[in-house]
Amino acid sequence: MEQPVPGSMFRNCTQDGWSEAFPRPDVACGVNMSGSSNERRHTYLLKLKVMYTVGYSASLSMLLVALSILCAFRRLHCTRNYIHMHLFGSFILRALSIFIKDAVLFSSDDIAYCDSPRVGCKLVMVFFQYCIMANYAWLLVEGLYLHTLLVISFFSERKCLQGFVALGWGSPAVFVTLWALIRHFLEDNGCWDINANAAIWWVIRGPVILSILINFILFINILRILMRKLRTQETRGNEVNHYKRLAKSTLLLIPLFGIHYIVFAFSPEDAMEIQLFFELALGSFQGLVVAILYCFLNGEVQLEVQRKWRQWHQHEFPLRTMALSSSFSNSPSGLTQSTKASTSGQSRDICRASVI
Amino acid sequence: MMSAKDMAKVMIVMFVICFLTQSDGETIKKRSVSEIQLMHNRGKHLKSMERMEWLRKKMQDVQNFVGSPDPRDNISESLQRKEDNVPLDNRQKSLGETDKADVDVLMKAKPQ
Repeated sequence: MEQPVPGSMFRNCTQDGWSEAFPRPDVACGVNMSGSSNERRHTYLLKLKVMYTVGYSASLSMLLVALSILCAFRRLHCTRNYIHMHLFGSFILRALSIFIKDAVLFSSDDIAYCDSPRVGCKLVMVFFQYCIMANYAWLLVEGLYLHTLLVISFFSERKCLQGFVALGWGSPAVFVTLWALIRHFLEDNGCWDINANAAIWWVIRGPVILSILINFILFINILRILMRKLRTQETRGNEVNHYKRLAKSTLLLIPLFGIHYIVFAFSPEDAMEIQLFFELALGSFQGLVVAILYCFLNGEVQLEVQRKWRQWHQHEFPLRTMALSSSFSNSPSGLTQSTKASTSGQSRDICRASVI
Repeated sequence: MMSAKDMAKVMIVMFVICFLTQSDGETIKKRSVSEIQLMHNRGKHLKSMERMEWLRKKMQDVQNFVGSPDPRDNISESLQRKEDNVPLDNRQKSLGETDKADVDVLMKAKPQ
């Protein structure tokens, strides 16, 4: 019998006529049509999508609550909380942009790629990239703020905040605009969702990796400074307590700075699947963790909420607590004013003291 | 304020990181933003799936064509169907102009 040549198909002449052609056309053409690896990848991608959708939904709901709490209570307004609010905002935008992107790109699995995508699809893509970059930028701002607070004794918080807002919302806009322009003129194919040209992708990736690296360095330096401060504070040699506090602050800072991103910063291509799983799992729940740690578990926030709750309760039953409620009302009496001033001063002090 | 010693330490750390990233250009090249990487992977995957589906359809056409005992029977059958005003099945609908050319070539190459 003849050796099967790639690209040829045969039929045997038998007594009952021609036999079935062999080998199968896909085998003859050297294409593996069984697609088991494709199927595997499909289920893997689907699993990832389900996981991060759950994570981002949980984060989104909690962050919305946290952000409204921080916005509602004026006594919580200080530079640190303003930065937290911006960070929460960027997390919310990130989650929203991912849902919008998924809805637009993968509304159906059999999307026709050859159709020329509309401008709207590309705009969604630009918005998505902007939100991702803005989130990384605000993680960097958190690191920069804490670092300046610990290293530099006197600085204008107002100017600092303006600079941070420019860095957090402005710098991603610059890079994403640049990326969109380059994409439009040099690689205008598909819905801009596949980055075939790595050089163009670097416009987005480069700044993100740089921000992760800078944040990691700041994180290490902050821990070093904290260690030194704790050591000088506790001369009685309470080593266990000392390390406990250090570990606590480390664990608190990791989600705030996004330090987990450094783990796979230098991972090889082989670890791509693990990296995607790890980073998407942690990244999607990061917003939730940050909202819980820096809003719901925060002492000041709990105090404020409790105070408001009591106040509201007293308004509900005004007859019974007439005398008490007068101190909470907005009457411009000197006593109330002074107590208000002192409490707001106190809260400002708390804000400063409990940086971590 | 930072002392000169601290500054030197930070410089060394940065230098080491720069060295690590530069020493093996390939490693850092792989690092990417996960969400965007996932979108990239998924887009490529869908594209390849679509390509595979297209190819499978074409292969099916070829197989059906080769599998039929005589192409002339096929044609007469389709002619018959046309006369009966019965819509053609999907397979024949999917045959475009270029496909017809391929089929012609195959018909010529087919051992009689």
